[in-house]
Amino acid sequence: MSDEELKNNWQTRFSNVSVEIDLAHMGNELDNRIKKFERTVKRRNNREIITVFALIPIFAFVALYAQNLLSRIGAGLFILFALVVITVLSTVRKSGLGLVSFPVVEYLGAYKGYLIRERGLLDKVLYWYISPAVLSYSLIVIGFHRYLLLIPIFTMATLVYILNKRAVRGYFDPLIQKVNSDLEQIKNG
Amino acid sequence: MSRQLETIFLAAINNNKNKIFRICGAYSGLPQEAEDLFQEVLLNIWISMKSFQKKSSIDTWIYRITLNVCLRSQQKETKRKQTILSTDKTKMETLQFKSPEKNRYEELYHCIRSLNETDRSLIILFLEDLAYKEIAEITGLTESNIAVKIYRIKSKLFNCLKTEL
Repeated sequence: MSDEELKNNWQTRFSNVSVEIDLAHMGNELDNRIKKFERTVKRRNNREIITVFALIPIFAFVALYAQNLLSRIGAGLFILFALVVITVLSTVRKSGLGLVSFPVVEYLGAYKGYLIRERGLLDKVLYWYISPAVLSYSLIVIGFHRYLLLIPIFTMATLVYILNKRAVRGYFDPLIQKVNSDLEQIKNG
Repeated sequence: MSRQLETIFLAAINNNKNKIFRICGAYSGLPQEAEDLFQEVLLNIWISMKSFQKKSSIDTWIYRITLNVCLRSQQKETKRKQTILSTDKTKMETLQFKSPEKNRYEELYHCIRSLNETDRSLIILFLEDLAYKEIAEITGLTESNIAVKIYRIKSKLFNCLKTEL
């Protein structure tokens, strides 16, 4: 079989398949998916921002008017922590935008970098997310002598830690390995 | 999105829908999967429209997005795809003796799918009759590198087709 026959075989046969697509139906589905995608992103961002800005006045009140120093320090730390979390998440998300129109080799390299950054976030969740949250919350609770309230936060922290570690091992590590092997193959294969 | 971008988007999709669908077909096991992947590609093209800077032709730009989305879907669903691929092979075996023309297409499809994802993307661009220069713009590899790789992948493909015959 010659190159031309091969190309002809590929282009004609697969053209017949595409004729069967219902473009009108596809247009509606696509429109729905685009709207759903935009709505989901907007809702997620709004939810996070609203949560942070709803919590800040409460913790600011505790930081300013609590009777004990421990709770005031804890509330102050919590405000700092909430702002850091919002900044970290939006920075990582922005770094993933627009990659898909890069040339394939560049895309795979950039995508790998993006995945490594996301993996890093989950892998180090204990340091930038769990510890500051638990520490600030614990200081507030201890300041008010409500020790039983430490149980739910420690349970939640353990759960978040386990889920994040599981995502690193079960999702990110195999995906990064696959992207890396594709990158090696296309460059050197 | 502005009316102007929307018009460019619709025109580009109309001109390239067959090519996009052929590429999606080569990365999917079942027709429904190819349609899902096709939609995923269109969604990504739509989302990226604002960042299109006309540094390359819109066709080259669309090829890039299509291949990147297909590779990404393959990377994310390797385990699931293995199951689907085996189902697909079974389905193709049952169709095998319908017509010689259909056989040739199925053999080519089967052989392309037996290549690894990156070889598959290069041979697809070659089969779409793109010049090495265009393939270089899409992949980010050099033209000489592409020539060597295409030669090697074609040998694999011809060997596979001989075995299938």
